[in-house]
Amino acid sequence: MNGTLDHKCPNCSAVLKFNPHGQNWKCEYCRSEFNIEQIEQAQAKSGATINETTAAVKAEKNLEGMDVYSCPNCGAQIIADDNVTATSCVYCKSTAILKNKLVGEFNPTKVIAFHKTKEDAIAAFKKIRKGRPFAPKEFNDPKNINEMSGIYIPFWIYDFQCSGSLTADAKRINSHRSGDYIITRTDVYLAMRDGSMAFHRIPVDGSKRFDNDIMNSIEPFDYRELVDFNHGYLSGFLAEKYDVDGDTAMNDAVERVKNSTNDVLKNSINGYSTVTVTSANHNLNLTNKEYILLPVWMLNIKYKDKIYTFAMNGQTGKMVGDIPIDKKKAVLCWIGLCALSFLVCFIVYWLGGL
Amino acid sequence: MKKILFSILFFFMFLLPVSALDTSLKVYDDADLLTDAEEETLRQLAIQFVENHDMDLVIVTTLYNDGKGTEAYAQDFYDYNGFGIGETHDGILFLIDRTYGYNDTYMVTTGHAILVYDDTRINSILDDIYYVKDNGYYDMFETFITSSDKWAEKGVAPSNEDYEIDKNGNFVRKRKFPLGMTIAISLLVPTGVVIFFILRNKMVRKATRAAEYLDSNSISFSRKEDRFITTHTTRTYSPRNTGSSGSVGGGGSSISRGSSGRSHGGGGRRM
Repeated sequence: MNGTLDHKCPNCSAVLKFNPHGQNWKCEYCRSEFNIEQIEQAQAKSGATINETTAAVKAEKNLEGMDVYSCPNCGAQIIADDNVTATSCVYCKSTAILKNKLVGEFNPTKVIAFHKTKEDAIAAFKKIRKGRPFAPKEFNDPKNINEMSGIYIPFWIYDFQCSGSLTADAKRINSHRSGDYIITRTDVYLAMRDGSMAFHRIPVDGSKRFDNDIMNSIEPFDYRELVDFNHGYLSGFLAEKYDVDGDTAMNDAVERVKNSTNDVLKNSINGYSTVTVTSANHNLNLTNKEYILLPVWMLNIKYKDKIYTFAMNGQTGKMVGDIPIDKKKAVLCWIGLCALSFLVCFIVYWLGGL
Repeated sequence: MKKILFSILFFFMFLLPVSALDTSLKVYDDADLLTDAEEETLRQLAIQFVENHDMDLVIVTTLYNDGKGTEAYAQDFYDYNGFGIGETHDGILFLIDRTYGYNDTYMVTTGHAILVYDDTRINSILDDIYYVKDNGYYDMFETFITSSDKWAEKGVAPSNEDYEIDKNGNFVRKRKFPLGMTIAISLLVPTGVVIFFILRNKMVRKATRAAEYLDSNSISFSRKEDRFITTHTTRTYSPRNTGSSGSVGGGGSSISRGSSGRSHGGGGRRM
């Protein structure tokens, strides 16, 4: 036992990878295809499932937070840091799932499988790059773009029942003219709203390594495709385990719930010219918490000693990331546009307009 | 019936060679108000004026204005006899019309002369003439020439600074290149475009709301109360708009179009 799990084709024993477009497993050698039931059967037969009894397996060595595994396919050493749960062997490219990282509290309950391939992600990146003329040329370099990698990122999802109470000063202002005077009448009300509502599956990124704002920006995921976790989904991708525990990560979700509760309560105050919230209280009840993996295509591009991260929702294809401004391009473009519009104005004048 | 007759006459006038008149004479005393010597003196003054100012100067007297009225007669005399210098037929004409038994005077300006002689200057010239009317016709005409000469020295009237004569001889507002506006546009528009594209490069936003995870069926209100607190009323003085739409000045010269279609300035009075 070396602590890794591989995925072998039940027919020919070649490495079996998850196929996002078919939502199944396809053997690249014998062209066999398998669905989740068939994979589960094969896993049961070979005993390659994760359970508490196999969790005792430890990494062979521990070098400054790095764990060393041996590749189940070729025997080469695979070095991974503590948070990596699935990686690939640098020599034979086969997937190594580090099973001792996926047990107990680190065993995700559910997963959304990748629907978008690397090619889809590259195409999406090129598309967002296209309408942004001030992107530096580094962001067009195929060498950089091909570094796109598919990662299952650990997320906490929370269900809340939230009851809130809100008070606001509401003013109704009417004015009409009377001779040379404008008469303004202001009616002041105290608006009070108490209400409760439920929120389901608010996701919060459970990994410090990934920027929370980027993860917010690729929301939402379609939870209808959330399925029970099977490590077979990780085959062909990278995966991480959480390093922000469920209670800490919850703060972000709580903040969002409070704001949205306020919005609902405030929006029910209708028929006024101005509404100013004076106080708001909330009582949140966490009704469910789950640890899941969500599919994200990630790309890091270095520009002027800074790393710019792009992420694509591996399910819906929504791509985000901040592209820096190539200042030279922007300034030249501005000067060019100024000259051009001056010329256009002049031609319009000359042709007899204005 | 009379009108038709004139129309026919008018029609024949068009068929006649335009230069039926010798335009170098400058003085056409059809009403015979001047002696030959006076005519000759005025002619010399007129020629002097033409040389100095590059504008034609014509003096006309008539006993009958062909029923057109003094103004139209003066304009037509100028237009149909081919007076005027240059493409825009620059020049002035002074007419004494005796049709109605009075000295109906009229001054016509054409082309560049419209800019030089605005309504104020025309009135000033007519005032000068009126002042000497009792000294006889010669003095009136001589005053016309000297007074016109005085104003021509001053060039375009200040009131007409924003106007010009286009190549068709029309009195039009000068087309000034709107430099300030152009600079503003050609700075603001590109700046807007560049800012738009700079902002476009920022796609990452922190989520502050959870609205998409809210189960809208679960919303229930236990209190929805709007309690009336107070009311107050203010009166603000705001006088009604009195509609201060001042008439927009159209330059200092009033323009009329002669039967030939050409623009003329001018003015006249009975003396």
